[in-house]
Amino acid sequence: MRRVFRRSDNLGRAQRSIIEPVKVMTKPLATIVSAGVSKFGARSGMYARELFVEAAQEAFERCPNLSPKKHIDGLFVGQMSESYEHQAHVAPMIADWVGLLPVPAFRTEAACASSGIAMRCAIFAIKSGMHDIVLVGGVEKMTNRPTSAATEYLGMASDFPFEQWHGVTFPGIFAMMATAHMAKYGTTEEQLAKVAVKNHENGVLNPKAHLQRKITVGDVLASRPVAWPLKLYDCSLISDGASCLVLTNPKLAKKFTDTPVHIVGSGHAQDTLGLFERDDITSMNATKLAAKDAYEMGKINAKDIDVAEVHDCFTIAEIMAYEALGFCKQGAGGKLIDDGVTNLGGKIPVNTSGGLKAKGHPVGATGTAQASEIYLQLTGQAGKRQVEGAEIGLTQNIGGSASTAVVQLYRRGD
Amino acid sequence: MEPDKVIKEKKPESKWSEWGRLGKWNVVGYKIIEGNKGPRPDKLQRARYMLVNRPWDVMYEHSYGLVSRFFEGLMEKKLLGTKCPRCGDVFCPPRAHCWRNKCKLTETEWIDMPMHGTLHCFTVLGFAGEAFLSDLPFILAYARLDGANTLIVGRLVGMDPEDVECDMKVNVKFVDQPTGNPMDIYFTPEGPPLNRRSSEEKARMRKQLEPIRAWVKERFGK
Repeated sequence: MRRVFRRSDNLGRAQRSIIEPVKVMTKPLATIVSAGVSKFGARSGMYARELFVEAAQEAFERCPNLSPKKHIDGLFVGQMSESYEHQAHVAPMIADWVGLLPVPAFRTEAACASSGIAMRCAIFAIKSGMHDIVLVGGVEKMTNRPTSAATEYLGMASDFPFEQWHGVTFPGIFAMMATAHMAKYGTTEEQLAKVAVKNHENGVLNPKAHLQRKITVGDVLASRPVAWPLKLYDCSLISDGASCLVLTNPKLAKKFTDTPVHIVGSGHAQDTLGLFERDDITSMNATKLAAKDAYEMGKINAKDIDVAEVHDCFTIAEIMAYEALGFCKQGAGGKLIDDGVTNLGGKIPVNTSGGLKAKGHPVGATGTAQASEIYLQLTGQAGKRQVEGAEIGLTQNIGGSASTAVVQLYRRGD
Repeated sequence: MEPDKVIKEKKPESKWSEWGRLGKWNVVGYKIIEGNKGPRPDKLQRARYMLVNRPWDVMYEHSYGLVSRFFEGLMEKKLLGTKCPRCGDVFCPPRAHCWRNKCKLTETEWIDMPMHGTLHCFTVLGFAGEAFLSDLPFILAYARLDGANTLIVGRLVGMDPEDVECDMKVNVKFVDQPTGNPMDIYFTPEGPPLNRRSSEEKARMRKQLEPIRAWVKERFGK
């Protein structure tokens, strides 16, 4: 018996009241008119704010009709932890560094979903009519501390004290999900390895990726266990980086670009913080609920998705994301990777950027970096990793042990 | 509001208060490097950066909140949980209020927990935060104690990693000198291994874990 809990009455009820009013919504929520990403990697010597400037520079250069200081009226920055750099209150600093003072700015935190949540806030701002053109992004400068210390900081997003004090690392938490998933559905270490192999292959095609190196299933299986059954190559990277988007009211998008990308669905849900209180640790319930909201809002089916960026912080997370997003049935994620459905050239290419696995995972930057990749894909700017004719994209950004999930849907504008 | 009253106290040794201050404000080393600059990988420029080393540490006074009794229980080698008087759900780790919407945050009641349960899932850690590195590789597991609706975290000892499997029965044990820390309890296997894993799979797992043991031996000499 793998389901031990019975709390289904808690889930669903809260969601229903959210879903109903948005069913009638057909117009885009907000529109991406530009995007920028810094080079991801170990960016020794740089400040977080400077990484954000790199991303903003690219976004501004890509959108010549935008006069940032004149047009941008809000800034939202996702960042997980002030501990990496010992710098809190980053929003005014970043507003200053990108030349936008005195624009209203704030930081959002939801662990690895920090900038996914920042995007939600930007959408709220635009939908409410209080803002028209906003800059939304995320940044993390993680390599200031040794890997063991970074592991501890990331671990703060697990339950205090029960998980943290036992030294339960995030690889450990996802390894727990993996052993449970393997016991329940027969998922294998080889299937997990194939996710890493695929994402590394894609990463080779992305010049911004932290790692540009192909690997084999054998390499993954022979790499050092970080939290068995997850080996080094099953884990995403501790990286420095920043990413951002320029979002506008859909009505204004045409002033800035001929190739807008509309955000047509957005869902967000939570699950327990600790893994030990969850209904079923082999499925991502928050992602399921967030996806349901987003699909209903955008009137889009899982079958319609042309390209997706999912939160592959660990290889098992990508497999569980396939299941939660409806790309396959619950428990069939391992088979989906076996069948090559999510490869570049497959039916639903997933993580064409290289994913968190190869592109890197500066945690605060990840949500908007995923959206940036979808923006490139839907506007035909993805270079060697371009998915031909992609019209509809999806991002799934999770925080902690999938306790926060943000799912967004994108449609190419006319 | 009445002032707080100290009921019982073990003051940390003075070395621990020093810990927070040691070297806190000093730059103790530096490095000047030439690194990369610019967002475009095809047009990267070189830039000169300075990096400094500055030790910084903290001492917390953590609160255990309304479930403090659980941790006091650990110090007395008693394992407690809580139970909702309305729906009967049992929480270990404890929750001060029921998790169900329909119970409207009913306050839970303290109960004694059985010292055995079922292992739900596990991992063998090969890397960890600084404080745990010398213990690697160790087995962490989530187990459901009999009658509980939640899982509790603990280390599993007394079994080789390759024999650990989901659904095996475990006993809960206390460390010799508990300090009111979740780590005061650990699990031991109840009965022989389930042996669902083939001997090839076990051999592969043993081989995968070898480098961890070698690394710990090299770094910590044990």
